[in-house]
Amino acid sequence: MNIRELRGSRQKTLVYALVLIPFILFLYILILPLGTSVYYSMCSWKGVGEPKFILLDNYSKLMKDRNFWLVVSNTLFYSLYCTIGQVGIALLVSLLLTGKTLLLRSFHRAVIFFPVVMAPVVVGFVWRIAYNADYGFVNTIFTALGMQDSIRYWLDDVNIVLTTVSIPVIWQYIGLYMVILLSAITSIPTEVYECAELDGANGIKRSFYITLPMIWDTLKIVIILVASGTMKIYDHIYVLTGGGPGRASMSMAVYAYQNTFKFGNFGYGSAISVIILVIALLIGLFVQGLMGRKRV
Amino acid sequence: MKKKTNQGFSLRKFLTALIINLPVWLLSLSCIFPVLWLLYSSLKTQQEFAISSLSLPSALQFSNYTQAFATANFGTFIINSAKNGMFSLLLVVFVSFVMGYLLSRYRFRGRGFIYVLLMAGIMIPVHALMVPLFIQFKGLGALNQWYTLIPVYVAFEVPVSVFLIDSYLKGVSTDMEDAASIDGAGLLQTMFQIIMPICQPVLATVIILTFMHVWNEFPFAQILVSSKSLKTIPVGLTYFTTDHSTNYTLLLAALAMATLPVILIYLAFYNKIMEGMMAGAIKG
Repeated sequence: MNIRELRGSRQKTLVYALVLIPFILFLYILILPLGTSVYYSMCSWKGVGEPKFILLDNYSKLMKDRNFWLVVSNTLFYSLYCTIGQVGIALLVSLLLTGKTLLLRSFHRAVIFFPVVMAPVVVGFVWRIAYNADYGFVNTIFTALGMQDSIRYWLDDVNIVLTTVSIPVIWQYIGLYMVILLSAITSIPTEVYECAELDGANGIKRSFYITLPMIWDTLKIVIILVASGTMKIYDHIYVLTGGGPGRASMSMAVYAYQNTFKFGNFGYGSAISVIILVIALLIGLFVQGLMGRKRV
Repeated sequence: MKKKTNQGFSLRKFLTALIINLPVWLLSLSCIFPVLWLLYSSLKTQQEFAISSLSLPSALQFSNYTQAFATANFGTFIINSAKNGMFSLLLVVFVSFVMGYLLSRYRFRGRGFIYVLLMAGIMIPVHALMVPLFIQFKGLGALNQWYTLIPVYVAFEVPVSVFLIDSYLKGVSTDMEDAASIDGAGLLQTMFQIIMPICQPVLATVIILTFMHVWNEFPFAQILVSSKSLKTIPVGLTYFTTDHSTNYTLLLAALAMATLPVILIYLAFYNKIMEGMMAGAIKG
């Protein structure tokens, strides 16, 4: 271990000062708000005057709020959809990328990763224009392919808006999870594959019986990241639809924003924030439990 | 006979190659096309765009870009983003290097506690902090100032940066530091003159990641700062649809300007970004 000793009390004071000053800032901005949101979630506060303590009234109001249940189910839908889409596609592509038959491997890797570094707001706008009924290239492409029947009002149709909003999110982050999975796959020792090849296992068998079990832990982490990470989906929705039509595509984070900053119900907004944290935590534990037992 | 099986074999090989290459190509094209489309469409006139949104521009029109500056305050947004980015970068590099180094090299009371909380900070879904952080800043009177966003961004970036620097330093032996302290160098001198240059590669990763995150950040810039003269680019972009609702090429030029620095940095530091994003992926 590369550990050094602190010499004298002057050095000790210096180290504490250098570490504690930024640490206090960190506590104030990242840790304290957890407490603040719990406290204000038990208050009625319009942003001015004294907050009134009302214990769990906000929560019981939430339980009866139909819009709240709608945004919860929307968010869980996004979470499920993004998990299947992102992890599924990322896994498939990373398996293909590690195969011997693929050409231009590093080109594909670089290109597929690029959307990850774009601003979610920019991605939202690009897709919003792409989906536009008059100018959008999505409809232009469908027309060019002779699939006029598939043309829709992509962002105005209540029945499909959850899917059309998910697509840009999935699209943007495939690259991130692909790169994580790729690094896990390339760290599998090549001897394992050589043995399998000698035993006559083909590419698909190798993927199922060697690669998948060997990257199981990484896959688990990736699924937790996507599933609980999607709980905070905000930028894309804000730009694409603003949560509409109605609240058909609204996520919990957008609903918390709306209640707090548009309607001025700080207590109610805080309660929604607390529930976002709780659900994100529960999803993490759920995936952990689900995949932990299946470990090969 | 033998020839025939050979042919069948190579046809099969060709088909396998096609099945493997085709979907990856489709995904790659879908990833690169919207970006290219954004760049070339921003050079079209509004009429051209209205006639066909896919066609290439007949002539390169930079009027959308000049108009974004002239009528839509884009210059102000760029200056604000640059200011936030620069201060956040300097502070993140300084703070995370100092914390990373001290936490990695020295054992002192409270170290474990600080480290665990910092790492927990990586996992917190920050969007759930929008409302409480607004309330806290309101209480302090720190909303809507030129500096408002800087401590927020620093606090968001420090945990993962400390993690990166700490992991990097685990692979660096203490020989140089020991030699320096025998020569009588103090803690600060050793830290900044000997270790900081050694950490250059990981600090570069920290700088690039921080820049990307700060440049792209939207929700906190949207809620913590309300006056238009302090808004950053991502928030400024949302005005284009409310204030100039039908002018798509103007919006596209603004989107392109928001993306160009990211493209350039990506091309220049591709490997560093990859490496940092992977290590920082847990941040999500």
